[in-house]
Amino acid sequence: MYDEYKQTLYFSCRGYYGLFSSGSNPRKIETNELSSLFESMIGKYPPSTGELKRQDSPTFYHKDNVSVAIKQTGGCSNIPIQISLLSEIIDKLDVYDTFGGFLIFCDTDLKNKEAIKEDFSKKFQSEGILFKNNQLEIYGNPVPCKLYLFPTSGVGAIEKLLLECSYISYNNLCQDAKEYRDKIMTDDYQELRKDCWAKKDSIQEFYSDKVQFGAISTVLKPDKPVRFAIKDKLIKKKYFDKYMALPEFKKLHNFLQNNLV
Amino acid sequence: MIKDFIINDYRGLKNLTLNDLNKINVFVGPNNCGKTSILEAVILSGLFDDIDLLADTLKSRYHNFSPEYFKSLFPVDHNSAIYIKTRLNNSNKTLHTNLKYDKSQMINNDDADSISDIYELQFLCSYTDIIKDDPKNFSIRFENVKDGLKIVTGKSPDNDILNLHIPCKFVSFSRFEGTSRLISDVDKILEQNLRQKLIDILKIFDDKIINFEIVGKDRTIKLFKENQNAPLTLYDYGNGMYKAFFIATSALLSKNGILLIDEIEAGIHNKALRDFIEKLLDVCSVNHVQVFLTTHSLETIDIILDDCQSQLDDISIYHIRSKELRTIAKKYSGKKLSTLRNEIGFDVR
Repeated sequence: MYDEYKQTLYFSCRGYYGLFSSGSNPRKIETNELSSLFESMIGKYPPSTGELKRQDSPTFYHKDNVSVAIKQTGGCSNIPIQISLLSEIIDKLDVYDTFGGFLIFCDTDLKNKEAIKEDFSKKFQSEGILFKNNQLEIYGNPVPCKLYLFPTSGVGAIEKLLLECSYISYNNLCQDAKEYRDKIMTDDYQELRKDCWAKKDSIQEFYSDKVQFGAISTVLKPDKPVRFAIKDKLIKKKYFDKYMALPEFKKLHNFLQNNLV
Repeated sequence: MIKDFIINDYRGLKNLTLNDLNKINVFVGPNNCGKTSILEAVILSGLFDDIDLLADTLKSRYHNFSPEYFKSLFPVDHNSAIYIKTRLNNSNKTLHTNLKYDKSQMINNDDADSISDIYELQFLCSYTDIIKDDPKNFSIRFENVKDGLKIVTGKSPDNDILNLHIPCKFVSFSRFEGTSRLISDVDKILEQNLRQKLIDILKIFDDKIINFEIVGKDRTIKLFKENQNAPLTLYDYGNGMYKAFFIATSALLSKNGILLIDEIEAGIHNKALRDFIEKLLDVCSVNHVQVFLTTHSLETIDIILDDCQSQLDDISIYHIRSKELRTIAKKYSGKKLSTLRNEIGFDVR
């Protein structure tokens, strides 16, 4: 149904759902409305003869003339191989003209950004795909592919941005969660942190963001505390202008606007 | 074993190149993309000294073969002749086959006022690019008589160039009318002491089968079952058993040759399909048979990949489609497709 739309983009990311928009909300697409490309991405797996494993299909959204498929890859290091496999679908259907490209969202964690980009290039190369200048070369065909790293300055993960937004959406809860976080960062818990998080002190701060966000999630979704995601309306439309005052949020919003519209 | 195969122009196939063919080659693609035509083209390459097979292949799609079909298959235009290039595994040479179609007329011997149309399909084969109209090359002649077309097999292929004697069998779901060929194949099975091997395969479909015979003046194939006095004819069984009998017989008679099967899964229940395909591939492996299959079934592809896990290098899967003025075959190795199937549920059809 949406084959006629030029911009059909695919997100390959660590686990973030949703589109950021100041207008109307994107609509989740039903299976029978999918384009041939997106339908092929759902997957028809062979019968399992060994260990049962979960097989995730992408989630599909549509707004105006943009259709998006969002897929988690279970870690940034899996992204090049996943894109390489999915590129076979694009090649088989020969939809290079209508496919808008890939957007990759990944945490910096504690790595250097240039090192991450270099690592991506090498991994793509091992799959027979050239990744250069925001573009992949798939069987001789150029396909746009842009990488967005969280946060845009410094190191860390998307939790930094989620916490900044949470201060706007749930200020009191966030403040209380901060107190909890600060308590866990005291010497009383040093041994526990070294056992469960990491030995190095520099990494402790990184994990403390996750602890604070986890505390917020537990309250907002008590039945599934570790599976709270943006699509569960952590980001609220009514606070959009306040989010846009956050540098990290604004950068992400602009990236999506520039590449999806 | 055929290594490379190029079809310049046959039916809807245009400029199709198949390189590095494997022991097991599977063709998939939408309806009318040319999968069956590829199998037919293999037979029309002129590799096989089986005129009946050639004639049957030409007629196979049509209930009543007529000159009209000839015209559509082979336009009377020198430049439009089918051109097939075949490279065999055990040779550096490439066999060039140029099919030419000619139409002429003759006065009937029995009735001087009656004129018949003659259609001749000439197989001009050469190991060089230069194709000569050499009388050593063989041809098939069709005479248009009152009751239809009569095949007059022309010059026999007893020339030096085609002294290859490669066995070849073609099984198509739509070719059930080839009963006479089945009977002659069963005769060969019995001559070559392959009876038990065939019974082992048939047991997949009915484990009580203990024997088979060709019985009576009309030469009917009968199947004998445990604890049953009266045997059943092959026609008493469903289409699945009939087809399996045909395929199994063909596989056993293709030793050191080529086996072509169109829509292997058609008519076979999925419970029997796995055992049947595994048995078939085992027979082909033991007998060094190169296999060409077409299928619409993802289940069949998964069974083949699963059965050949330790020999994925021996499998090639081709997705066939038309693009502009060419036919494109996208090749997937067994290993690559196995990864695609397991990791993203890739549907190669």
